[in-house]
Amino acid sequence: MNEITEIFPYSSRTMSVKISNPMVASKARPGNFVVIRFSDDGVRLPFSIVDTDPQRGTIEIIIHRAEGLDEIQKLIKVGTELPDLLGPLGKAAVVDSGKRVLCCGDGAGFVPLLPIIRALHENGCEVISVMSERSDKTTCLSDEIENFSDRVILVKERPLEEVVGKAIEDFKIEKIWLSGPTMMMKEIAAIAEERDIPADCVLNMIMIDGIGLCGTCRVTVGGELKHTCQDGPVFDARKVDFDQLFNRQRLFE
Amino acid sequence: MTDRNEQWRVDLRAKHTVKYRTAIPRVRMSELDAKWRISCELEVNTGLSLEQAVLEATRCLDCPDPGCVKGCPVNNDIPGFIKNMERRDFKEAMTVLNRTTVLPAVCGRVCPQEKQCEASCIYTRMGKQAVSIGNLERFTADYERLTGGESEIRCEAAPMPLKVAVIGSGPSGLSFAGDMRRRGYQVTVFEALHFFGGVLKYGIPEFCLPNEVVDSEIDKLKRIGVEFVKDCYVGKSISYQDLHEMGYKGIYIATGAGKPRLMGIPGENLPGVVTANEYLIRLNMVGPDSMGKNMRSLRGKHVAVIGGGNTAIDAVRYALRMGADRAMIVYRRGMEEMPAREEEIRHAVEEGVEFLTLCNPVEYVADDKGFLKGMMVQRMELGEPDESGRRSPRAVPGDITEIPVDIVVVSVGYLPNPPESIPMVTMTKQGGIVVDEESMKSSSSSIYAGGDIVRGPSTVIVAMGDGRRAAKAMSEAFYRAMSELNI
Repeated sequence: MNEITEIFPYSSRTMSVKISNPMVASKARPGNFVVIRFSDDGVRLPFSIVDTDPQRGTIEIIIHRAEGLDEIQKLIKVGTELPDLLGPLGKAAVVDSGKRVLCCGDGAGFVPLLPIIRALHENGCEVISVMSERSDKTTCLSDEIENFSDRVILVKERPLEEVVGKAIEDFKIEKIWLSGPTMMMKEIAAIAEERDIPADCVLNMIMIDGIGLCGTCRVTVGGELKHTCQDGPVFDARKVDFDQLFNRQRLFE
Repeated sequence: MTDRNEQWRVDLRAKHTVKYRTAIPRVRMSELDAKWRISCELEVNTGLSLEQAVLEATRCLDCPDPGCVKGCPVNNDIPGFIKNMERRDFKEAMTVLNRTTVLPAVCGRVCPQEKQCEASCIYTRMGKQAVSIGNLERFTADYERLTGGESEIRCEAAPMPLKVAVIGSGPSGLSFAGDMRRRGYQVTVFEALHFFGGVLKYGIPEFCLPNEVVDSEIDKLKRIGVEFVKDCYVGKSISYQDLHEMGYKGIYIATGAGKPRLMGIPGENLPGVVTANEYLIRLNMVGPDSMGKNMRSLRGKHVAVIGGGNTAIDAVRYALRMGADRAMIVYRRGMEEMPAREEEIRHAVEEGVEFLTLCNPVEYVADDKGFLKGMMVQRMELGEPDESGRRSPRAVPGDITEIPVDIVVVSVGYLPNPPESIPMVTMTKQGGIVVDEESMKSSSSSIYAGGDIVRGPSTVIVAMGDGRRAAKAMSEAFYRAMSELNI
């Protein structure tokens, strides 16, 4: 159980890890995540489930430097059995069908978005992916994103809001999916609100237990207190209090 | 219950007069020095010596109709184990305890005995200090653990080919698991976290209840064949349907009440304001500085804990151990109304905790960088008694002061951890499970529940009592079903 079957380094800052856990692999849905401990004295860390292979019984996660990649790399190799893996946690995303959908995020943001993009594609949506990335070093999954998107727009220099605003017009977008830096999500959510387009965001928060005990991942959505681990990680982006979220996120910087 | 008319017991009673026994003063548990103990996490109560324990056991009058047993939610045979202590047969004392409780070392430490067994002790009725039942229970269990004794929890029935599942490895689940195993059932305990013991581990600090003590009790259950599965969230990792398909004929849900309440006042989501669970889980399980590489440290100079329960007191005493200059309890009623155990409060006072009673936070204030820097505290006064019989606090208009703080720990209660995707079980609005009060059976015939998931926040021992009653009722239901089928 929890044996690492494959490690693929995208760059010095990002790598993909496949882990064997047939129970989680068979139950996972887009939007779900796992909580992992990499060593017996390690902390509990949440990771989006990026992909699953129910036949082989494996799940895939992506580890970024910000999540402790350097330390984790020292602890694992192919064949390592992780002491703990719990999942699938969180509520599964409600994935749209047959719509024109815009997915927007930075490199890290596309990690939780990928399983959603894949499901959107399977559900017959037209998927426009807008990826905001200043450096190639944090980019990963670009091939997969291209495979399941009808169009990929890379944003390096132009202001993101401008690109998104234009894409909404050009492709007559009916739904937006967001994940990435808090201020980016706030800006795009404001555009969605202004143009009256539904928008969901996938939040990536620090958690301690991941099962609703600690309240560390709490966020205000539509005036109500929610726990990202139990009530999320997907929320209506137009209702999330991003300013409060931004202030809380600084705990971790 | 053991037989008090056994010859050894009759002889033992005759050995000393009642006058002699009642003249012995109640033993005092020795404790680490308050100034020193806040520099470490060592257990504060250091336990009784063997001679202290035997002398205290001698105080017990071995009453014909012992009130203490009725005062105990799991009906421990209290005179039965105490009289064995008096005759220095600690192994037999443990065997007596094993029949009714799977957590004697835990209960001897954290039970509110002053409100239960000791409240019903004959000494209490005589206006004297009760026999120190909790300390004696603790001694019996510790003696066995520390001397390497391995008294078995005896399985009383022949093995039964019936599988039962327990959801949650806290006190209620463990108690149920032990009792069902004793009756011969195949028992599996499913735990979502990476360790077993639930709130006994993540909630209660090392200086009140060392993890080693909890692990040793769990190992005893493993030795008699209870299976434990970690990292398994029933309802997510596997479904209730899966459990049925795996052949589990009965399920006991004991997932507790660990969802923290907040007060909903301005500033409660500022960095620096944490729930008691965040504070205690991080300190108990991972240490103050090591949570993720970028998490803010939980070490604060001025720490305020909001609330007056045991959890609040545990948290504020931890703050001192983390180096706080000022560790405060902010409680909206007075000292007398505080729900925490007397001993906890006394320990906190000795250690230098400040008690801001009749105070209620109304707002948390941020510095110019957006971090917590202070709290606005409303002065309260006590009015008429409310439904709970406690005088209800009300604000003194205009009496609000700002107190500087760097960490606030909110400990104002918990809601149930609602089980996920559970079929056909009636729940309360807040996510608790509705059960029959005697059998602990839910609206689904194969699902029973007990502990905080049914009652809301209660005590370890009450949760254990639920486990015992549920085990009895579930087992009887199995027997009824089998006799109907003529098996």
